[in-house]
Amino acid sequence: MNASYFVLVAAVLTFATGFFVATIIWGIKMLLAPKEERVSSKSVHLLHIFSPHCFGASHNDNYSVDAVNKELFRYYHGNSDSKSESVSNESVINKELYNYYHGKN
Amino acid sequence: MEKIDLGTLFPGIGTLFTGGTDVFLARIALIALGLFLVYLGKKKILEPLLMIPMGLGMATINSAVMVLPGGKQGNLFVDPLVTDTTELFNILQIDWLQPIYTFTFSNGLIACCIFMGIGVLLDVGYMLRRPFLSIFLALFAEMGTFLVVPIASAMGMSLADSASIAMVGGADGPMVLFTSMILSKDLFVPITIVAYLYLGFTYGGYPYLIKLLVPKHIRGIQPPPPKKVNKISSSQKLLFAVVMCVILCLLFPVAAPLFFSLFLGVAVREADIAPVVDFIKGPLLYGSTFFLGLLLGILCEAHLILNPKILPLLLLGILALLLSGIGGLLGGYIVYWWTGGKFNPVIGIAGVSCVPSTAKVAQKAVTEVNPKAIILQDALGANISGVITTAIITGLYVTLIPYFMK
Repeated sequence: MNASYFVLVAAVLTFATGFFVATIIWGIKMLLAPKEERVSSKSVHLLHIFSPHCFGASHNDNYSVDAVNKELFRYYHGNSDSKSESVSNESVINKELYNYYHGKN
Repeated sequence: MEKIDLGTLFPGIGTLFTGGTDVFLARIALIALGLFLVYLGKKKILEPLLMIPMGLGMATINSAVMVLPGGKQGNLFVDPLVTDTTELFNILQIDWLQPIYTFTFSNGLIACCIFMGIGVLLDVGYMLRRPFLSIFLALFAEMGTFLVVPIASAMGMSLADSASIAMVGGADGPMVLFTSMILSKDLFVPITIVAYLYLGFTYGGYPYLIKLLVPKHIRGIQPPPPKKVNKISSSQKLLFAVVMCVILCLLFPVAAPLFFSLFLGVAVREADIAPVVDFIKGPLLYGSTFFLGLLLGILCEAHLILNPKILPLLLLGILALLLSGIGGLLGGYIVYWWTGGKFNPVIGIAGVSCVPSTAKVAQKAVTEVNPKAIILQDALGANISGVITTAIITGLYVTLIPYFMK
């Protein structure tokens, strides 16, 4: 009885100390990890949950430009000033391509 | 001229016949066992660094028995039982191994030196990568260390002796030596010898245990690679060693020499103090292991195996290691079920802290089934965690036992 009780106490304390040690190790890992490594997949998910998109905020182009990459946005969509021009050019090219593949209606 | 008989001329042989039949048989058995250990060491079946000095020491000490002044039988190697200061001072000038025994063995220095060496060899990065998994497996691989205590107690041993022999389940020689020296002064020599003899069981016996308990299709599982491999820097490892050392010493001051030695080794390694690292992992570790083996062999006198407690110790030691292996695999199975069959449960046996033997045994068992599967990193993480959990249990046992003995 005494030995069993001793083992029970020792086992509980060992498991508690063991997981305490593991928590400290995890803390050290996070403390000294480079910034980009500190953002775990869970915290990215958390950031996503609290992002404006998830609260139904309007997806406006300016937000996308700031959030992603201005130059990349311009590369794909052109400057807002020349947007209409680029769109019209695009439609002309598309029309020619369509005609090339499918023939004129 | 006084007549000299053969027994007086060759006292080693003469004392064989004057000590009684049981002593005669015990001495012959130990000489044979010593020679057998040398053979096992030479064949690399057991660790030669330990077995050759231990085996030769065992054979020699049971051969070199002579009649000392006063008519008492003894030897010129060491007297472990002497406690009186004046008598000890005299013995120190006669028995050639007495200084090493008194100043390094009986105060635990040799265990701490070995632990320092283990610290220098450990790459704690494996453990730092997945701390919770490693510690979880290591805790389950201590099953023998826990369960053998009530079993030994039921066999009539005291709680302190039960805890000391149960420590064999941790498969960590210096830890068994340290615990038994504090808790079971009368039995620390046989318990430590049993521990060191059985450490070979991890190499020889655990592969069969794995084959018995883990089916072939599960044994070959390659765990999926981690989503992101974080590089553990030496600063993280050094900080880990410093913080762990302070916290564990705060929790268990009685085992502080062991914690300090282990983490000092880790700290020196991570601080990259090359000359000290070379000294600790070379002359200090090898020298300490050699003298530990030698002293354990020298302490194996015939009267030792005539102690009626030896047979239970032999049985309980092997049971502790067996249960720890089963516990490790059980921990591995729990993670296997938890991850939906993606984890290889064989990794669990590496939680038994015989660094790095059990990790190598686990990898070998997996490679036999699936040569492409690599589990060594996770296995080494569990292995290193095993050293830490065994040290925690040492601290707990040494601290708690006096309260339970009252």
